[in-house]
Amino acid sequence: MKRYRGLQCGFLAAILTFASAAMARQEATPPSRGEQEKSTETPANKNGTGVLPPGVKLESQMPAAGGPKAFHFPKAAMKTLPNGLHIFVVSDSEQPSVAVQLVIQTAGSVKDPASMPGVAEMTANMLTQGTKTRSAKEIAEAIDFVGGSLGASAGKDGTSVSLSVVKKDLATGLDLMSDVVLHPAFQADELERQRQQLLSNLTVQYSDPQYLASVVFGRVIYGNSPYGWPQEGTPATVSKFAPGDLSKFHDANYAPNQTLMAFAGDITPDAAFAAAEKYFGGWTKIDVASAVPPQASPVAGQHIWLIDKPDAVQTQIRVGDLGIRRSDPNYIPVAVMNRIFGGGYNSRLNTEVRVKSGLTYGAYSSFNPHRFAGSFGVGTFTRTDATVQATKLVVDLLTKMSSGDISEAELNFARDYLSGVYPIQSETAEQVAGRILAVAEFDLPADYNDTYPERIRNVTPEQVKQMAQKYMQTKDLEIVLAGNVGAFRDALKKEFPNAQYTEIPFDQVDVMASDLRRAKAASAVAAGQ
Amino acid sequence: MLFASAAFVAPGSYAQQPSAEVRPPKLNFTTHKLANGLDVVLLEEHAVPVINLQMWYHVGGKDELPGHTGFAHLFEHLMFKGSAHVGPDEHSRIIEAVGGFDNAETGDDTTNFFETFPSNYLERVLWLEADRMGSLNVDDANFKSERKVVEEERRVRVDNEPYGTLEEDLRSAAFTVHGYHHTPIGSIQDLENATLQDVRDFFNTYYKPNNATLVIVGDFNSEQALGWTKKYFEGIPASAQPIPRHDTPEPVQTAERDVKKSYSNTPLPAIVIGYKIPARFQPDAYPLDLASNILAGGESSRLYQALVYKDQIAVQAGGFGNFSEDPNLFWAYAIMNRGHSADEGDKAIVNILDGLKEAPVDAKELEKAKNQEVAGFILGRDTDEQKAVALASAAVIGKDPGLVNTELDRYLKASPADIQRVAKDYFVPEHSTVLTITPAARGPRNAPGGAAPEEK
Repeated sequence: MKRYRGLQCGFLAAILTFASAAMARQEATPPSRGEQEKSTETPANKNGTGVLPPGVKLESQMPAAGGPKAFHFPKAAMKTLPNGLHIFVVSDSEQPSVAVQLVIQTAGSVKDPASMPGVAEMTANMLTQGTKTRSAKEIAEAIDFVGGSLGASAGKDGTSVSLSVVKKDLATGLDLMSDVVLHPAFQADELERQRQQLLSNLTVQYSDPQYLASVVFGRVIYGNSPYGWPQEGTPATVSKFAPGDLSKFHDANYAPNQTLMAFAGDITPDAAFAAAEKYFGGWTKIDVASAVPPQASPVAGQHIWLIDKPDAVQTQIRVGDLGIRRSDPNYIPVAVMNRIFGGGYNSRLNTEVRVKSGLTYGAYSSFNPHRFAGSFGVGTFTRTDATVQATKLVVDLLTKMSSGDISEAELNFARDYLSGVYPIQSETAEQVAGRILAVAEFDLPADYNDTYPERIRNVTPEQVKQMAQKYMQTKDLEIVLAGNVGAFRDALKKEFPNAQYTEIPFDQVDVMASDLRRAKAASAVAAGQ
Repeated sequence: MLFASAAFVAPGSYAQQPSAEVRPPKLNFTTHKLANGLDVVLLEEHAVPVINLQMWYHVGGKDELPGHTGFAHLFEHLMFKGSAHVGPDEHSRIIEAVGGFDNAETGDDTTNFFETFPSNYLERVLWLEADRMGSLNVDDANFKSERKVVEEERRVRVDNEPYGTLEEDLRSAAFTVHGYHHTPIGSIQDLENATLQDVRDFFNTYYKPNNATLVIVGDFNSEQALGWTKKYFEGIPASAQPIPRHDTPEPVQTAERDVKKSYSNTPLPAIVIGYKIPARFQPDAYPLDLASNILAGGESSRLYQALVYKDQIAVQAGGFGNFSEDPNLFWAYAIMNRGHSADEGDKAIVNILDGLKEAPVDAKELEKAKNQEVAGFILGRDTDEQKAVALASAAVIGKDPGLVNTELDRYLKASPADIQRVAKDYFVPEHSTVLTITPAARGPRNAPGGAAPEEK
């Protein structure tokens, strides 16, 4: 299907790829693999009407499952080059194409210089905007000519560079990929161009309640530190950095001995190892300083942040607290607990807020774990006049969950879903490679991917209860509401009388400020007007 | 209509392959038709024990009559609300309980329901789809609650989102009688006017086996799958009446239409030019699609290079054909950089489009556009779901699932002269609608200058 093909990215693309899905799809929890043996077989017809229209004949009994089929997580071939570059290969010849991913584990936004968030992300964006021997246009021409894609982006912990090409063009792609990673030029005029683009984009983002709510939520959970800052930076910080800041960041953090490389697709391990050696063997090993972000102070009490946007017709709601880091031994029981609470369409949260109450199009919760810390958050949205009702409902559901009172049926459902969906979410070589990279990146057990479904199925009622008691409590909570605050402020304060309130007009949000509010004089500039 | 039936090339009629070195693997599907008219397309793929199933009903936003916009989409939501043997919202729960997921989407031309699930549950999913096709039941409480959900969906995608109304602003001016006049999300006012009887009538009119196409891709045995399909669907009779089609052709446009809108949440000016183009699978759709690659395929494309890179007047610029069942629009657009006007964007876009008319594209640029198509066909068919969607679209809109194996050749035979000709024929002011968006002074939402008042 080629509807609206050609749109690349950004806010316009989000609008134009309009497909009015019945349900907002969201995978809040990692999948697992399974043999599909089911611990529950609930009869389906308990609530059916039993009424057939005239002339229609239907089978009344839900068919039984067929025999379960084994799914074995594919094995990757591995090799480490002398410069320390770790290579993983997942061979799959179904389509004549290859995807290559580099994860530079030490180049995340956690390394952004103090008071200058956005450097890691801009460094990644600038990789394809010119090297020592190729102009930005030459790079674009070369990758576009073969119909491939090459791009980079920074996450909190690392930077990821991705290449996707038809198999016959792999050498062309790797030659470009190697050049942009090893020899980026960071030319001043190209930086200026990217900077103006980003400032224009941020001008739009700061008019979008979804963006505002998410950025403020991240900031209040993690505090005024690298994990709490938006990866793309803010209008004020983006205006600051110079080419030297980017080359310095690149030289200090892009290191083969800190990088994972995965090949996925129509290529043999030997061919992949040889290609990696040819294009990345000359990348010089360096010592990289580690950056451990300051530990976020725990949330104390309920704090409600009101981002006032008087023209909004709907309020974006975020509720949450600190969560867990990716390597936390509780990761699996937390995933099962979250699946029950809000990690899918059939969860307590979505059932109550969407299906039963009609207050929203979707309500989900997720744990977002990173190397050093993680967050837990509920996200939903509702019409302005239902803001207090929906917020109260979310908090009440959390409180109820924190009792740890979870039925066996709920636990079975969550375990069955998470273990059963694993093959589906390991369907392509690229998905498989992604899981293998995650194990390496977060030092998970070597048999993690092979045993994931087992680990899910072994989660006990007691564990889930403990996780709910620990992470779902509502005494300490950050709540962010971005919308037309004047329409619900008073009712909200009546409903949450003991909460601490901070209200900020949407065009004065500055996450770098200690109170998140921009000093008056700078407002006009940073709002991009 | 401009295009005769010569457009449709029989599958397999391209004896010799054009000179591309790498081709997407052929999809070896089979087709079947049940006595009640249900079309079935099966493709076995055994690499992973997973199946994707698509059930497409040939009804969409364009079939809605004035005053009933958004109805096809609202109805799609109600298909999850229970039937003779399945309780409200049980459909999704049964699928999630075995480690699968399901969803649906409503477009202009079709309403698509789909599930991905472990392959030993195929029989159960077929039973679920048959039950709601044969005996959907919606009560008043479900109907009203789901309507509120849809209203929130509209707010989050359209009303509360910067540039969210852009598509309906453009289409409501570009189309006067055809159903593409409105987008499938519809208006809140029309949704509020819908009744339970409307729901029942809609179901009885369109949700019939002779208006549906079932596509299954993945790890199954075709003979067994066909047997189950017959077992569960043959008890559902075809409609007594032919399925109504609201396909009044849009009259030929003879003069440029200008639309100016201003919103408080669109801080950067934007320009969209919509040109009338032929339907999907028509011969001229292919050179037009290649033209969109030349205009907007990557950072080396003409629009990006001129507006975004060289002159830096736009933060985004692009062009693409919205090829659908009936003739629709080619979009050429730009979101302007701070300090640049929509008028500047308009002139720059027209200048680039004129370039396509004035001289044929050079051989290398056309080769790039074709390489992008080949890569798109290969990289875009990795999963069972991607294959199933390609088959369903070819079957329902193209009336021939075999197009999945032949369509690429239609791109590869296009010449520079073809690109120049379609640019001259279609990128003309008298067939265009020009939408200009400017920032409005901040104020309460319901006072957007010139905005459609329908959601008040």
